[in-house]
Amino acid sequence: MEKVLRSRTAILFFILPALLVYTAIVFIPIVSSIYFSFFKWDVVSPMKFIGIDNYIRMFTQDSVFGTSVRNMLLLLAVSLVLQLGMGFVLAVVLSGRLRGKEWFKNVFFMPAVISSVAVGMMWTFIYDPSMGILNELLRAVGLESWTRQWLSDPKTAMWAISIVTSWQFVGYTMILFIAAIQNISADIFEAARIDGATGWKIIKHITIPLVKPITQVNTILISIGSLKFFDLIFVMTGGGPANRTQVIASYLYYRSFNSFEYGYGDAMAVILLMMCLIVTLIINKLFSITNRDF
Amino acid sequence: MNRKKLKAAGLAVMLILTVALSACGGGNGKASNGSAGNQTAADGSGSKVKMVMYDWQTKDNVVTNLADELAKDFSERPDSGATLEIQHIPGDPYYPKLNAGLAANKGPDVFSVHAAGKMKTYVDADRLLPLDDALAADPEWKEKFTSGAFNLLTFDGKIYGIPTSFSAVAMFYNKNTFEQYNLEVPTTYEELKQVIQVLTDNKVIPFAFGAKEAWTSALFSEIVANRIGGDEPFNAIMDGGGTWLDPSYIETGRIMQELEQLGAFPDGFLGIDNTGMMNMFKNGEAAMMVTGSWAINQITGEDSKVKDDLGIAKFPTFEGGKGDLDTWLGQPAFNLVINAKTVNKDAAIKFLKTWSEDKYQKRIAEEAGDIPATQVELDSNKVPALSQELNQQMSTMKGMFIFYDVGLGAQIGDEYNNTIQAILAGKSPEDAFKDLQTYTERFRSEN
Repeated sequence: MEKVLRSRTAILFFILPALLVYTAIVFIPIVSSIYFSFFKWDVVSPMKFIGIDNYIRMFTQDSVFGTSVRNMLLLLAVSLVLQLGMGFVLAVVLSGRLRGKEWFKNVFFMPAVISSVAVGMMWTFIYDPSMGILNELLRAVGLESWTRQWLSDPKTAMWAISIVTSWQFVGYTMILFIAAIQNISADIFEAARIDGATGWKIIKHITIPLVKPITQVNTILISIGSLKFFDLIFVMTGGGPANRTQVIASYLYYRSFNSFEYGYGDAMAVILLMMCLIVTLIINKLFSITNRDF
Repeated sequence: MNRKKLKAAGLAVMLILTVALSACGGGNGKASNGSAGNQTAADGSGSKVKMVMYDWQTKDNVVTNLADELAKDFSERPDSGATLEIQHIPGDPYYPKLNAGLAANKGPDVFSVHAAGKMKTYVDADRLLPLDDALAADPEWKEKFTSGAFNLLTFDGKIYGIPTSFSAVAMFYNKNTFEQYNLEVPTTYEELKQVIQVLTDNKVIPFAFGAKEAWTSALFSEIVANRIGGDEPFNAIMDGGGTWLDPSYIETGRIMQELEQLGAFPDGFLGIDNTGMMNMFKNGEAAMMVTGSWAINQITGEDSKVKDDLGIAKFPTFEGGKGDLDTWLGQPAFNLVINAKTVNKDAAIKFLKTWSEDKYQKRIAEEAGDIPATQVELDSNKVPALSQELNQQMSTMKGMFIFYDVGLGAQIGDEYNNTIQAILAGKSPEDAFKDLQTYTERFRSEN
């Protein structure tokens, strides 16, 4: 068997199907997106070559694109702080001695396995200004003046959505941290305790440094997830009110499928792809520098 | 040995591709079956072709049910040559789905499309069947239509669509509320502001209004723009010149913001869609609503709390404004076109003729309260009172202009809608119209 696996043709034979599928559904669309991004095309009429006009327009004339980038960065910042922070805290707590911790793990992880559409619908109801539970709660405790039209007020809409994403995926971050913490040898904790380290000191000097690889993985997952974020926006606000909650993915969808500017939509997709690559590179660089310190 | 394996791999690739391609071709199977059926139908016997129509009607709407009954009636006629099924795709997904179908060279045989600029896209791309021959062959059919019915459906001298109804935008108001607070229907903007003042003082929402879908707010602004600047600024833009930086547009943006600040619109209107504002008005929560006559069948429906208290008014004029009180915003509302690649042209044309039959035009007027497209004798006892009032108000009409998004087409038109939405969300009118002007110039230079 091993001999067979070493033969090149066998390797080719096993890789080829996956490679073909990958090429067909990932590589070719990426290349064709880049190609289409130099055209003006509404699908129905013939395509028209316009050079880099789509890119010029995106960066110099489209204020909604600017809004989308800002929203994406807000989402990224909120997700990194809440998901990494809360995820780690939950993981530390649930790795300790705690009754019913399996149950808690399941509860915190549950939102990550519910479909985003269901999550979006549920939170849309929670945020609903007249019958939503959030405003009801505020009214019940006498904070009437804090009630808002959460999803249709341009000031609160993007924050409202960002918090839902963090809520949805914090369990996922937590599970990865728990796995990493459980991988740390019990001997190390024991040795630290014998040396007199307790509580925060153990976390700071042992847990945090030793889960660094997983922190890196989580950071990349959260960042990429935030960059290409789409589903909750689509379900909860559709980019509204007045395009105030558009992110790049939802805005390129809007341009492609609602105003039939497929070339422009593709140009945004290309920029989004580049952003994802750049962010991944930056994160890897950052972590490789700090790794050396350790 | 190696070469043999490569060959085998090559064969495997071919196999995969063949499977994939034949899977993709699956959709076309229907069309080719269709043309086969077409031949048998042409013999006058045997099975009929299956045809599909797309429209944007909401389910359980009077017009939707009427359309379904019409399609069923058509399919059952022995000489129709086809059976036709309507797929209703309401709201924003309509045009994307239609375009995807057309781009793949399938798509529906018959579909509804907005007039003027929106229709032009399809005409320019040779997607539509010109109807001149069919109309010329049946003069009786052509003469049925009200005069000017084809104006916005004609491109380069050829007619591409058949109107089935017209619509006009009016200001609907709740007579009860107006009586309760001793209000007169406003005819000038100053009077309107006073009405708004009284209503807000009494905690009544002046206008049922929403801007979640940009077009519902844009429609309101288009009347304001016409009352302020007259027909000229928009006509200039329609002709390919003109500018959005015209002072009348900036002023329109300012008025929209002023109305918002006066409390003319409900709280959170940026999150209210067409259905939402319709319900608000139906429940009597708001005193007025500016929308198209397509709303009549909903606001006079059984579930409407205000169905017996409704009045129609012309939108007020502005001091120093160039627009006339008797200029209306309207268009042929529901137009049917035939896909140039339909499986059976004759059957498709017969289907369009069915829509023009007196029986159905009567029902469009009497049951749905729409303005019929043909000169049909109506039973005035059956036409909703509100539609009659609209007809009466429109009898003094001096001019008409069309929805900007319809006239200017999907790109510039929709960008106008977004511009109004952004102004309502707080963007300054100057910046907003400057961006729209940039967009328009770019769009035109690229074409």
